[in-house]
Amino acid sequence: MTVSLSADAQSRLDAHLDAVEQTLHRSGNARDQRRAIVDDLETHIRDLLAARAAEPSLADVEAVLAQMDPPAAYGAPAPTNAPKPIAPATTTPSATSIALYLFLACASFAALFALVLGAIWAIRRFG
Amino acid sequence: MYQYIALRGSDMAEQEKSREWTAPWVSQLRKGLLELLVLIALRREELYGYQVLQRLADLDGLALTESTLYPVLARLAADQLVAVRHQSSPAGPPRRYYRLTRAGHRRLEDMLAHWRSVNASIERMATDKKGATQ
Repeated sequence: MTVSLSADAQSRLDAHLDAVEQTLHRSGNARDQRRAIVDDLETHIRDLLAARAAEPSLADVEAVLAQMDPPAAYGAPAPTNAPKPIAPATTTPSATSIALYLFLACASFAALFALVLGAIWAIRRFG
Repeated sequence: MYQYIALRGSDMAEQEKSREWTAPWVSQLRKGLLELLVLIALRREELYGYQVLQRLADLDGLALTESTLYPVLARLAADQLVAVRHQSSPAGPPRRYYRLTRAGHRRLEDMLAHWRSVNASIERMATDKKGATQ
C-alpha cells in the first residue's frame, strides 16, 4: 500500500525529522550516522501511518508523533566504544581546612609575638 | 485494623522507594545490554529497524524505544558489525535491512560467552546458602 501524505502532514513529519537531525548534529553524530538514524525513524513513522490510513491526515501524523520519543531524546552523546578520557582531579578546599589554616596561622603569629616579647624582657632584665 | 492499614501503607512506601532506587540501575543495565540484544535479534534473520524494535519490545523488562535503538544500529553499521541493504518500500523511503557480518557474529559469540559466565557467577552467589546467611 502506497502512503501519500497531504502537504501539511508531510510538512509536520519533515519538521519532526529535521528536529531529530539537528539534535543528533548537536550531540556530535557524524553525517552518515545522522542520516541512517533519521531514515530508520522515517521508515518507522511511515509504517505506523500506513497502518492507520492510506492517506494519513495531519491529525494522524500528530497522533503517531505523540507516541514517539521527542527529538530531545536523541540528545545523548554519540555512542562509542572509545574509553572516556579521565578528567584531572580537582581539589577545592573545604570550610574545615580553611578554618584549620587560619587557626594555625594565628597560633604561629601569637607564638612568634610571645617569643619576641620574651626576648625583649630577657634583654632588659639580664642585659 | 488501623495497624494493618498502617503496616500495609509502610510496605507500599518501602516498595515504592525501592522501585525508585532500582530504576536508574535497570536503565543502566538495559543500556549496557542493548548492543548484545540487537546482535541477538539479528542473529538468524535480516530485519529493518522498526522490526528490531518490535522484537525487543516484546521482551519482559527490556522495553526499548527508537531513540536508543536507532543510534545503536547506526553505530553497529559504522563498526561493520552489521551490513545494511536498502530495499524500496511502498510506505515511504527505502528500508534499511540489517544483518550480522562475520565480525558481528564473532562479537556476539564473545559477548554471549561473557554474559553466560557473569550470569552463572551471579546465580551461584545468589543461591549460595553460606553467602546468603552471612
